[in-house]
Amino acid sequence: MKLKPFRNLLSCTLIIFFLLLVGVENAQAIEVGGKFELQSGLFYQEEFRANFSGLGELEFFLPETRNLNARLVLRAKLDDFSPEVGIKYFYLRRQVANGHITLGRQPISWSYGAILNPLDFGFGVDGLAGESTSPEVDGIRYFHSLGNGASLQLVTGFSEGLAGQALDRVGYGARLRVPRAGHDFSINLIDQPLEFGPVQLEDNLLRVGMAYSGDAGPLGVYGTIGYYRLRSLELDDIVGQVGIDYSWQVGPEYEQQTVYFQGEFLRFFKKELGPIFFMQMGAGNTFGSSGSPNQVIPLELYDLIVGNLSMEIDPFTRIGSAFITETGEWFFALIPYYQTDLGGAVELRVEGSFLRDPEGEVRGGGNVVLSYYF
Amino acid sequence: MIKRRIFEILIFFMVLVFGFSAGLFAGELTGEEIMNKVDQNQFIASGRMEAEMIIKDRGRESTKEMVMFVESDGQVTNGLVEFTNPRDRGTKYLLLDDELWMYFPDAEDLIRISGHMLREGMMGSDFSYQDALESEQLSELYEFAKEGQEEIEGRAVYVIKATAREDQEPAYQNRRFWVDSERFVILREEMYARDGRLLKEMVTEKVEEITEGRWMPTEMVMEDKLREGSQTIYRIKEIDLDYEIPEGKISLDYLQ
Repeated sequence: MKLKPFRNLLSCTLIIFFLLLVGVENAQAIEVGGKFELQSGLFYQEEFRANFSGLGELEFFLPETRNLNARLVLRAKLDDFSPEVGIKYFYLRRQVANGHITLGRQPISWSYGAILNPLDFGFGVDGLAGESTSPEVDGIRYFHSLGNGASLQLVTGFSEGLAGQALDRVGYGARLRVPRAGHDFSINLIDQPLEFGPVQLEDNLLRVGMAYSGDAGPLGVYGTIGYYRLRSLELDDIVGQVGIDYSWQVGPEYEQQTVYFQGEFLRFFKKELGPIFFMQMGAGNTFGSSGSPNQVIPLELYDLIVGNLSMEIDPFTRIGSAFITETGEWFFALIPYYQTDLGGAVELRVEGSFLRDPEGEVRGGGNVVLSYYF
Repeated sequence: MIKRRIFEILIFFMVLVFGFSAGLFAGELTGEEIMNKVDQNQFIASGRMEAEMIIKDRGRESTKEMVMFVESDGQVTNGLVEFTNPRDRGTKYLLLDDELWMYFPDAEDLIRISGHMLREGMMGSDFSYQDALESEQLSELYEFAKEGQEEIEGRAVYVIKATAREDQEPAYQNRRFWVDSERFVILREEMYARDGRLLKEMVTEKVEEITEGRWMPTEMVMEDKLREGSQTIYRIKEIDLDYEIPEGKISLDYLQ
């Protein structure tokens, strides 16, 4: 993913404010941490291609104050020997009565335990093949506590930076969350410009719906029901999702291991806006697009079955496989992985990917990732 | 005069015998009473601890460092655990009565942990989430019977058998405790399944007097008997039993 630039007057102001907040006398109280990651892979699509990339994240852990806190995470990427430096997160958070206001680049995740979340503000992925993503949002968030864990969040997101932002390119979101013993329920509303789509498609996507997670006996269960609408094209759709998660022990006595399974089914009932959701997830590049550039919605995508099966070999090692399949055109992706803690805060991850696209073409590859945390 | 003398001697012996018996009854504690003393000793109304968990398995090890806040009113115990080692820095677990929530710092999001996950090891350790949740509810979950007395490393201990109450379904059907008879600290514990299989064993390696007359285990070793070669050392590095936890810190509101 390309790093988003953070260059405008507001960013400079925030950086100066950050430095003033920290102050020279507090410099000693700042801790620094982060990770370094090296990734090398081989991928086949009509021909073999190798890639090499590096990633570094540096986070400044500031002493917490009563009313004002800041977070700064810098990120540098080396992709096929092209370097990029940017800001992953940079925000100020001001405590107010019963809540807080956050201004800047920040993570916004409205998760309820699902792998794919059709009602997430930032279209993140949670626990697919052991990995999660939570796209950063440039914006303003107001969090208000309603007591007993219930909360209301209001978000304004600026997809093109904070200066010179056209009003119709501003995203808005609201989430009412009511967690209770054994349950978690939320109502989400998001209206935001499309981030990734065919070049000729500029529109706003409205999403509204409810999400739930709880326990049904030994199973964890979750689901969502929502409404999607493309404002200018006047296309709409209804999305539903159900999912379960479970764990159990296998193996002979004294050699037992834990197996985890999570699976979910997601469907766009009117078969209109499934591809839009998938492209917003950033997965359009994975499956590719078919048809001519004039085709507004390139994929016939309305059903998704997503699953994750993994096993702990020992407390440091996990193997597993994730799969994604679409029942219309039978796209299919299989992502097996092996992850182990090598000690000394170093982790190794080896993963493969096998893809069958709408044309029936099969592609595949593998990646090795070495991570160091400090 | 002789009759009066005999009567006085009889009275003397009666006082001696009954007085001695009364003294004997006062020193004989029941299993329930012993475990109540253990609960009182280990009860934390409001405390802060810095601890580390060393997970060992067949020659490999991994260390998790954490800061914990615990508060209890005697009926309900809530806790907040924040991990501070580089790999997991900022990850938090919130235990509210019998619910578990997890906070992910990268997403700044809070997720409810499904019920079936409670029996899994915390961060890969041999201490399950359910172990932590049930440790404060032993009297509600079990009936206790004193089996006898033994000695562990020179210290006299009571051996207490705990059987799950009929209307309860704890993680372990039966447990056995070895309780220091002077300090009322659990020095050893065995946890059994319904079919009698030994599932886990915990041994206290170190006990410290935290405040005058109050002893607490500060280093414990847990072994999962179903995973050969697996062991977790839990070591408390710092403990403050009178820590004033800021209001609302152990709550969903705080984590959000």
